[in-house]
Amino acid sequence: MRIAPCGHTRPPGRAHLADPVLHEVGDPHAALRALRRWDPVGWQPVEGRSGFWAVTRYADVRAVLTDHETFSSTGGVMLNMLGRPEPARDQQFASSDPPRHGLIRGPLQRQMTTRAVARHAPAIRSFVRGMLHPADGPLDFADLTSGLPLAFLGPLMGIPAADWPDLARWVAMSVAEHDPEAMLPDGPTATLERGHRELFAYLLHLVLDHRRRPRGDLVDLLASMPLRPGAVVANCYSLLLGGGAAIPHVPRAALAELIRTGRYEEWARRPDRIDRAVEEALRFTTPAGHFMRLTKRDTTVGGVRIPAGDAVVVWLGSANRDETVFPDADTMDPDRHPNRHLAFGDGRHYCLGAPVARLTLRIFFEELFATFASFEPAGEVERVRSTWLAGIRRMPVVGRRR
Amino acid sequence: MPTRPELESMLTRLWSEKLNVTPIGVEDNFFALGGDSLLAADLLMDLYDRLGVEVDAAVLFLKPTIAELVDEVLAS
Repeated sequence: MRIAPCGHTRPPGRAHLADPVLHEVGDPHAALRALRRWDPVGWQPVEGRSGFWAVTRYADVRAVLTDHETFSSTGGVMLNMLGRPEPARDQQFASSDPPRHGLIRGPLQRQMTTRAVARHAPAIRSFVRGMLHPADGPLDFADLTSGLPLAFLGPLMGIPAADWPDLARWVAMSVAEHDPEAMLPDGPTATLERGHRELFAYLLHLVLDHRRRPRGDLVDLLASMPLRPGAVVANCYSLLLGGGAAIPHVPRAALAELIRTGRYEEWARRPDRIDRAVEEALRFTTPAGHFMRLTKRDTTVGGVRIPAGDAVVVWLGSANRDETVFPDADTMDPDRHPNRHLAFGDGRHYCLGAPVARLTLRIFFEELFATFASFEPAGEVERVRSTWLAGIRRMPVVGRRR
Repeated sequence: MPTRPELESMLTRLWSEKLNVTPIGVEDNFFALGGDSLLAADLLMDLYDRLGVEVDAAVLFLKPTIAELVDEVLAS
């Protein structure tokens, strides 16, 4: 038991991180702060299933993510897979451990380096301009940014713009199955299953379409690997979810904070520091909230003993607000440096799409700052009801163009 | 194009191979028999390669019975 530091005489009641409502209307950062202080590696029971170890401090999160010998990805990597078999284990890069993981990821990664994705910059910029072009006056910034993944999913996977509204809905059903905007009347489990199957069916057709008309993109690359058809589709699914789910939430949550603190213009007039601003927006918003691992052997995390076979969930949004690593962690500071945030994870599963995400966000913020002089709030910001996706589903604002 | 009974028996064989289950009825649910999304994709790809027709994958993923699948193959 930890001794209470001066001025903090009692730990608050423990928050249930697996409760999606906490992340929607509660104060998840207060809950995570309390866990970092009082219970940094703590057991969280889950109703109807076993439970998981919640890891909330930066150093412990990194230790888990960089030790794939102990912490396996083969049991699924999101809390909604807790206690369920992962059919894509060892078939999909996200659900594999080395060395299998590297065989699938290696060839993809060579097409996703900073240098390799730089050639897409003009297409991304023209897409972003087209997206921002008609926006003026009262608008929902969540709607405005919902198509952002298409900026790179078009060039990288050959996904046509016309398909995005359906895909975005199925992606939301697959990562935020409790959210009222995504959830079907039959409930979260049915929503998750339906979103997942719709995406699989769509991606199977996408693979067949690439067979007939190869484009030299990531889908062709996966189809050329020694993988069964189901594994090709499962890896396309990883790429689509990795690329499609989280990225719009970075500009949404960052702009919401800039509006809240009145610092939009301060950020907008310093295009020279855009790279640091993007990193800080990533740290502060961290839309991919957690990742799960299963222990392959008895181990300890932060001094806490964890038996083999247990689920360990690292909370990236918490690690990125760890006050022992980031001074003034709850302030979004565009000059923050160094800024070794974990928004893209760490270790072998570090986000494959990080270079293209950084490029897209830099272009998006450049174009946003160049296009809009100011934003005013025009209604309540609604957050997503999800344990995984830390983000915003509705954001009414009034934008004034320059 | 094969007839309905031919298709049914071909699909029943294909499902048994993938799922390692016998017997299989035409109204059985692929996922209830132990199928998963990866197996469903394998099965559809096999079907495309054997018959040369691209049936709507959503049929197997959302209405996962042999009867529905045969309807879809015959319609396409």
